[in-house]
Amino acid sequence: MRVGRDGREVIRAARARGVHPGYSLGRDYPGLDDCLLVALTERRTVADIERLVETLREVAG
Amino acid sequence: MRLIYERSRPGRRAGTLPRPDLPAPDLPAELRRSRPPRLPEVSEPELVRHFTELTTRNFGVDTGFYPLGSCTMKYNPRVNERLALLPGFRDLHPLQEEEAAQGALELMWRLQEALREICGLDAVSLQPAAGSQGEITGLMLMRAYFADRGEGERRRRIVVPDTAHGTNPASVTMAGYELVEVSTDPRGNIDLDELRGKVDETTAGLMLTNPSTLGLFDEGIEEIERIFHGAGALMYYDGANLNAVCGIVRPGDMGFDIVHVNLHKTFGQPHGGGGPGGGPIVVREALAPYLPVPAVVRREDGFGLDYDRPKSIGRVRGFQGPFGVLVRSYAFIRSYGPRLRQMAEAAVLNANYLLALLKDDYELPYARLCMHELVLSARHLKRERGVGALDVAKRLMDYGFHPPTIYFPLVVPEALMIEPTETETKETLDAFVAAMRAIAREARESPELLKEAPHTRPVSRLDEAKAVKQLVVRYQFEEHPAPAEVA
Repeated sequence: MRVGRDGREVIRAARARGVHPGYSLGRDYPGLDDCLLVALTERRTVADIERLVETLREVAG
Repeated sequence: MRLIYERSRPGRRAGTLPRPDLPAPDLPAELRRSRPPRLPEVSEPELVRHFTELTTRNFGVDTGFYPLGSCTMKYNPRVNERLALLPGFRDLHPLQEEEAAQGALELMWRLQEALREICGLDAVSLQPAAGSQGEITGLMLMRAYFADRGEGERRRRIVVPDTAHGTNPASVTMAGYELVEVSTDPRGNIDLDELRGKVDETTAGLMLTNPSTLGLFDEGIEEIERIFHGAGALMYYDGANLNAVCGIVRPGDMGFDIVHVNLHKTFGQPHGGGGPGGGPIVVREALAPYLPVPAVVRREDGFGLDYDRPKSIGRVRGFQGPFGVLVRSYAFIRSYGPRLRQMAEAAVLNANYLLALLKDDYELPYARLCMHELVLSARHLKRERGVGALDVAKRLMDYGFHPPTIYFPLVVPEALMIEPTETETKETLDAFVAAMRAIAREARESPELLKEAPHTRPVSRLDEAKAVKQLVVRYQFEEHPAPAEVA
């Protein structure tokens, strides 16, 4: 997903809120610096997902 | 014992999966199975009993003495398991950004520093996952080094002694080098006269285990170093037997340029079940530019991964190496601290204690003090009673001991290679000696007892050729249809 600013900064800000939101694609693909690769497994609950969404709303550009 | 499928009864369950709080996706009909997979169906107590019973069929270092020569089956401290399971290590994703993996990176960097000091060399890669991968990585470094110097075409031969572990010649061949074998002299050292005639400007290097698989420290190591470095060749140290010398003498000081360290042997990683292992390589400064990427480095603002190594041979493994092994090994080394030398001294003392007590009942092919392991021969029993090393090994199982390595090294007929390690008590060593002596006596008085051994284990003497050629590695579903399929 596009997060509107540098993915690494978004990860850093989200981590400060206790959420690790994904992998910054800018590490591997120049030009995708504002993108995160996000994976959800069957172990995540609806509450977890809502927390991720809420956190990304707060920290994304 | 019964197999888990033989315990299975339709509909029986050991637990239930948590109910998902998301709606189940609607899978297209063509992607759905027509019937559930055939999995064993058992209750939880049945499940626990089945696998607990299976564990009793294994022999491990936690159940008894395991003197498997050259494998260093020492006790693995439990506290290191707890450290490897710390959530910060256990749950870390290997693609975590460097800034959020500082603890792991620092541990790897500190382990590198410890290995540099232990080996007396300059630079480390923790990537190789086992000794054999360390070997092929080391040979790739040699190739890159000589290619860079314009000597790649000319230097195409690697010298390996006839006592080497089988992986050494295999690695030489895999790396595209030509194997040159050198003999062992009557004292158990490399034959120096023969060696001088086999090293020249076409030699890329030597692969040597010191002490050797005979458990003997090569007394000619300084001359060996002069011969190889005098010819411009490199020296590779197979660290399989590092447990004998760790903290006493450093491979780098012996003249070796590339070393692999078997973390799983020397530094207390559970092994013997197929992994995981660890085979870091440690090299002299001149070879550092060719090490795999990324390198774990310390920077002004913390620890990181350096990919900017234009002469690197590239990656040899995914991510940064077998991380759990690295945690246990670092903890093991730190628990000894500057007393690491005592580990090797106790290992050598234990082996020599066994040698002193067994040399009259078995043949000692090289009449010298040994290092961390001893090699005896059962050839006198073979000659006189028709009982070989295999029979002695099988009979040892009846006495409750894991057999030693047998028929290796190849230069000793009917070889029994025994490595007690530093973690065994005198009482255990004495009990092993008593068993070995009893077996030597049995071999003379009732050799059939040995030839038919083991008598007390879950399975008796196996047809090893058949076991290798007719592998049965899964349940024979075709011969045992499920009850529903029968109906």
